[in-house]
Amino acid sequence: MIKMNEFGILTFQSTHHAMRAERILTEEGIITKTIPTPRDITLSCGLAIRIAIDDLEKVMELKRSGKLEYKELHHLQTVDGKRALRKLD
Amino acid sequence: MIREIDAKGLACPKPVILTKKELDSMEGGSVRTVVDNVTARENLSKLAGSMGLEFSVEELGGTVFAVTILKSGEKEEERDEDIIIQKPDGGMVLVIQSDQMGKGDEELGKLLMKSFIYTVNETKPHPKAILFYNGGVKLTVKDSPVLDDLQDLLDAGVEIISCGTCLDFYNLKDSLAVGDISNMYTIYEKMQSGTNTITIG
Repeated sequence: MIKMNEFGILTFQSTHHAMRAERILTEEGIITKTIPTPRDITLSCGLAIRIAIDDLEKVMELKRSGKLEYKELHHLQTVDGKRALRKLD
Repeated sequence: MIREIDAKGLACPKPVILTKKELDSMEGGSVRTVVDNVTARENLSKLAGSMGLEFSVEELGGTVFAVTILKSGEKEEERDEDIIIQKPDGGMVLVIQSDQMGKGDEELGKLLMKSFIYTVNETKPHPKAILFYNGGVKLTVKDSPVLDDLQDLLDAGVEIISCGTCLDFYNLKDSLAVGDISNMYTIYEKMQSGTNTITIG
């Protein structure tokens, strides 16, 4: 059986930005998971937010409308433990 | 030889303490302890498990149970070998004493704790047990932000143990959502049994 997981990963300028974004996303009804930023994305600001793949569009829309700030949005796919990372925004 | 203990009406660690004392004082035989709540029953079963002894539970009606723990002279030697064979990879025991990681800002502390538990779940080998006491028990109850990670760890064979006194103090006894309730004896036993015990909080 192939085990596959897909997520969106948001990174931030600073820990404060991450904390603010977590609050905003929660208010918008988006389920978040605060995780250490994967080392293959960046080694700086340690906290990232993981979101479900279904919420990607909604999150990008929140950024376009100026409600939400983030530095980068990545798409992370793991297939049988192998990681594939793609920058979306 | 059967020794009987009536532990009805006794508070949390008492039934276990009394039973353990009896068992320790005897060469062989059994101890039958009557208790009047499920937590005490569970703790006695766990005591038997941790001592490598066989036990049986009788239902005496309502929430009254009799737990009989059998101690036969030879059992104990076999037990040492069993423990070595069963020892999981990584003998680390994690102790979590708060729902925040480190002292300073509360919001940051909670965020760091979430990130920490996630990292523990993602990193192999897993610890063999994670103990939660004082404010730490807020992480094992309903609505905790780290329930999914703790459930994964539990499913992977990591023991998740919350201090019963603490759940009781914070009025969270009915809200426990992952792992088992236990007492100071178990907490200390786990700390002792770890090849490495690390405290976070």
